[in-house]
Amino acid sequence: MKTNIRLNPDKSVQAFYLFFIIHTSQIGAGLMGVPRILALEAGVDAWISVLIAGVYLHFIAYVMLSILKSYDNADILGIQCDLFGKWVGKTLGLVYVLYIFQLLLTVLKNYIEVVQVFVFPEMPIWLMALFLISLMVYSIVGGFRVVVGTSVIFFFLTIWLAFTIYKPITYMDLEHFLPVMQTSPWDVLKGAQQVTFSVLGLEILLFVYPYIQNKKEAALPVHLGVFFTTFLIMLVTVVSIGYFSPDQLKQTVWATLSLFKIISFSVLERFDFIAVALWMMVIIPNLVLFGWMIVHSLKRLFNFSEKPSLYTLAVLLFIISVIIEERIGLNELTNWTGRIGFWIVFIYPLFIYMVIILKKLLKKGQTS
Amino acid sequence: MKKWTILIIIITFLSGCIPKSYIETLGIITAVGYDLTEEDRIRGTLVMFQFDPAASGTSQVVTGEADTSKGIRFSTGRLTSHELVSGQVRLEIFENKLAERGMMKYMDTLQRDAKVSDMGYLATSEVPTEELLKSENDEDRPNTGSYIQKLIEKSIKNESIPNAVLSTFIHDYYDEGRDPTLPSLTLDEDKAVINGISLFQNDRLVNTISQERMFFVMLMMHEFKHGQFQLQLPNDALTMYHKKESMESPGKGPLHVSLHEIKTKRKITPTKGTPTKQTLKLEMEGRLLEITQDTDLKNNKAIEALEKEIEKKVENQLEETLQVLKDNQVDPVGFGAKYNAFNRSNRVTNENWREQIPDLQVEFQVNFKLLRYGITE
Repeated sequence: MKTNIRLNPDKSVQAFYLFFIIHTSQIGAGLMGVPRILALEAGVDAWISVLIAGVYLHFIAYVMLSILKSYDNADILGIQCDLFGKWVGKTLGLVYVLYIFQLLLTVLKNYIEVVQVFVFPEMPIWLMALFLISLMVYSIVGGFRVVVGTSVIFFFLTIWLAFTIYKPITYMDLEHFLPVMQTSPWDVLKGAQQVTFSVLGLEILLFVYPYIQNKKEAALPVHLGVFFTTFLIMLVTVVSIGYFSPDQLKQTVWATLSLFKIISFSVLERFDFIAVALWMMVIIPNLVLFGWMIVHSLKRLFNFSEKPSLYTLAVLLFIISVIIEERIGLNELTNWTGRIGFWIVFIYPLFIYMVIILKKLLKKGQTS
Repeated sequence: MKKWTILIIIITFLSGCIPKSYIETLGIITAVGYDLTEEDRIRGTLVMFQFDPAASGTSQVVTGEADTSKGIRFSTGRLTSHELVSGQVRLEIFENKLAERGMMKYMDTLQRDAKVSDMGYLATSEVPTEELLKSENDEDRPNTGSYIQKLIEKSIKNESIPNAVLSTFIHDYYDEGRDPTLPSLTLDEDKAVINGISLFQNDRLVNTISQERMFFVMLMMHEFKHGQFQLQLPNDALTMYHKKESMESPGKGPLHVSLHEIKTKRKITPTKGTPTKQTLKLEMEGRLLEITQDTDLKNNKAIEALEKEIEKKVENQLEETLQVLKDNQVDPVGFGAKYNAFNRSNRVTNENWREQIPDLQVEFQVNFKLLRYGITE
């Protein structure tokens, strides 16, 4: 496998699209439940956890960019093979593929669960799965540019949801935040780790980098995307802490969606139904981007041609998503994905970066 | 291209698999009342709204008995040809006997079911809710459920009762050092009316505060924007400022003042370390609309004296109201929560605060400012 990818310019995209790619792959099903998960660990100081996690996110994004910059036009799969040799590199690449598959499955299952709980309890899982997966396949067939276009369009179609949060803001009780730092610093750090579970998807940078035309300008959109993700998570966390009582928040599974429950217009009694439906547009870029990553990686690693592997992926995804039926199973799946993702996305790049630096030092030692 | 055509056709047909509900076949529940029967079961009364193209505003009341609140919907199912749905429930009334046993076990379903709106109103009732919802003497009959809902909504807007939506109740219930309140309803000449505020220990109803005291509970709980109330002052408080012209009988009868457009600012300051010692500072502004004794309001001293008297009276009433709250061991104001917000040590929890409430001492500092006194002098 070649370390560097050579591409036609008509297949690549401008650097500023990285903002949408990174942001839409980070925001997904996780945002619906993140306030509660944080509150379980860090209580009312969860917003500090978000701050810490935000800073760390920027750091990891910086590390990822540094890794990529030390090669001309490589992605993580090529870099792994270059660093560790063909066999180890390909195995590690396969680990990535499996992890992204699990992430894809988690996102899909979580969204179907929400639709069933909030809107259509009788709707069968296979039907929802079929709809979403066929949309995913449809976009990926169009190639990388269509995938990116999907994330751009759906970003603009859903971002206005953030403004509807003004209503819960008027119900906020600011005294919930006082006194600051009731939770032990260790718990706040654990909360910060929980934040990272909800913003998995940053690793996409390691895959799409070769497809960027003006790589010198990549840093700004990447950091902007990460910042905007942190901002949204901060927003829903702060509003949830103010709106719900601390103990109440710990029992509200989808706190973000419950915030929408009090919004109503005279022509529309229950806005949360609309929000759940619109959330599909938040989910689809996730599915499409992750699906593209899998198909693309399989091609890079084993030279599988794209369409057969895409269809196999779709069928596999469909079957597994129907088999995992119970909520308990889904909870465990989500927890596992979070834990594995934390190591792969937020620790592993540090390791790679160190290896690259070591290698450079060794080379220097040899030449001089 | 052909492939995609087939796929699109399949998807179009598959969308027929989504469950449908036709509005004419639905019985949309708008209000629910829960009573306790002699055999310790729950009797539920549902007010349901039907869309009938021929008639306008038809609604029906059905009653069923069961052990859970969802069971009621099930057991009332045999009484109506319509599909009962709970997406539009805007009012839930609990009989006092039921509320005394704790509301949370009945509320659980409201909280758990995503179909139920968080903005529905809650209330308690002194009479069985079945009678309340079947009463026929109100303006909005036959839909008494929506009458009561509008009544509560209006009263909240007028700032005469605290907010009573489901999300507020649950919030206050879970908040440490704060108890929820609800409006209390009763029947008056076959018409549902608000007769006070129900006090809760956690989720158990303990007592109802009478409507005369409602304003003072509100003064402690809430910052007014345009409230109104009347006050009886000591009969001879303003004797020296009575108008000379009408000296014959200026001070006859009790001295009442009616105040409008009341704005308040409230500040609760807990003492460090001791949650039971707190200060409540109240800045009030209001407009005098009525005074039952002929008083010379041009005189600044008269105004000052009036303000002083009002302050004294309000402080006095607040003390008495607080005593009622202390006797019932409830804290709807959230003195405990306030303490928690500013103190790290000796924190208040739902359990230990209950025992401390009888020792609660609040120093009231009321400052009243009369802004205008009508267009006459």
